[in-house]
Amino acid sequence: MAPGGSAEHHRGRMDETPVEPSEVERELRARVVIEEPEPQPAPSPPGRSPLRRRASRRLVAGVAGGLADHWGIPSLVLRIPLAAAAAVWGLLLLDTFTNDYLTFRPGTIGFPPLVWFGSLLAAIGYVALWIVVPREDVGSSPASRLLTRYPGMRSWPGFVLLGIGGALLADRLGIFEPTVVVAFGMIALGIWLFRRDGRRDGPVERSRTELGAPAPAPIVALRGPRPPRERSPLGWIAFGAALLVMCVAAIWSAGTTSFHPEGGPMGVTGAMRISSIPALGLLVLAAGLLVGSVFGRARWLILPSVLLVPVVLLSSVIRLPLEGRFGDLYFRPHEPGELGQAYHNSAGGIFVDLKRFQGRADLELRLDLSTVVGDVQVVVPYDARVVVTGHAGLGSYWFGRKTDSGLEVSGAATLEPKYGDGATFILNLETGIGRVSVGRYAITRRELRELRETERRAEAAEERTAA
Amino acid sequence: MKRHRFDPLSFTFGLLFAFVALFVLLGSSLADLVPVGLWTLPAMTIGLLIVLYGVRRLLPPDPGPSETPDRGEGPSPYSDAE
Repeated sequence: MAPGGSAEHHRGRMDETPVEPSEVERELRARVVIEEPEPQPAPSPPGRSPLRRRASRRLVAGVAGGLADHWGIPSLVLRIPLAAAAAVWGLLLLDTFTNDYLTFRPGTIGFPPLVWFGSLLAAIGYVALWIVVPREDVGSSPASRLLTRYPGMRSWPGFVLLGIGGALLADRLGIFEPTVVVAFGMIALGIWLFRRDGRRDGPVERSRTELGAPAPAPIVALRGPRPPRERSPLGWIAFGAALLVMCVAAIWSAGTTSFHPEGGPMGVTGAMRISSIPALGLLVLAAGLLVGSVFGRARWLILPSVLLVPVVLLSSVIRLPLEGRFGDLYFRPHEPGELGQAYHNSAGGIFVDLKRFQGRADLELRLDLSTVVGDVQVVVPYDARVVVTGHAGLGSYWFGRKTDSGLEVSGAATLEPKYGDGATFILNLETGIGRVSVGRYAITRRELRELRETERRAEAAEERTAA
Repeated sequence: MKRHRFDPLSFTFGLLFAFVALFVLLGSSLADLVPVGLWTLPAMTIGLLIVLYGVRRLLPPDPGPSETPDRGEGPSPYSDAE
């Protein structure tokens, strides 16, 4: 066509409002999505019918019948091997599901690898032909209809194959996790839904025929570019405000925290809970999102908020303030003077070994141990009497035979000694996330012999005194 | 910041995060949330999201200034056909 041909044509059709023709031409070329006509199947050689799936006289999808018609052979020749392949796969699936695992183990039934592989190929081939080959009464295959309806689907088979290949590789490497696959699938589905929704919410599509222009080829739609979205500072403002709020809350919390014997849990008074710090940040981010639903744009705040939610929820089970040092604490006192009354840790375990502690029966010692994140473990001598109370926000406690685990678990126990009569320990153990436990050293043979000897001497002394 | 068409995604997630934050700030903990809250909260979020998107489709689009596509200077070539 000559360059001026299009212009003349436009002037002839729309002479009421003259428009620069070259502009229209450029706009149309930029926006028109021209769908190429569906390629017609190549003509079949004379004497052979084109490959079509049967619409009648079919058992499943008409693939075997269509192939038989195409090749001019009885359909039974193809149906029998396909039925055998289906039977093999049915048995394999039955074996898989009755054993409660989802991995195919062809060796369990005893099929030769060739049979298993051949049946796999037959199944894949049947499904592929079902999708690709058109039915004789329809004229187009399901794949072509899907591509016509969703032009953007052309790249999806590639993604699916990549996903299957990645899953097989991960399984081979031993890092395959079905839940992770499901999670990725859900994320991909969500992205696809949002992209689809975004396309629908885009600018109004116009067909070229609306303009009165000739249609040299089938035109599906005019898909204009998305209008540029406003670059909104709302997200960064909310994010910065959240950081500021969290920092101020942390500083304020550190300045007001103090342990007090008559305070709340473990004697904490005037303290802001640890969970309040990220919760305040989350609240600011949520406010940014709510404002962004009407003014400005702040959708990306969803990502940091999602990352903050588990922190908020997990820290909500911690009732202890961040006080004390970071790192593990070990104590091995031998005498009452070496043992303090309370030890608090911010992060890390507390281990108190009282094996060598020498205490008399009339001695009573109180000990408060707490850590925000970590284990609290006390090991007492074989002759100690222990009165213990414990709490774990998220974790477990283990006091002799008494044990529990989960969220907000608390327990109390009195552990009497089996041998001897030593000091009494009153323990109060708490951890935010971790485990609290009390163990008792087993008596050795030497200690048992010495204990028996001491008891025997004491009895002898009593008898002498009585005599 | 200009007013734009109502965004159900930002609104729903903002509501969810605000609920979680207030839930913890008012003294509750994860132990109060499980086991019912662990599946009802996500389900309610998804349900609200679907409802809001559906309602938004039913309502006429808000002709906010930021929704007007910027097609450059000068008259639009499509004005002829309209």
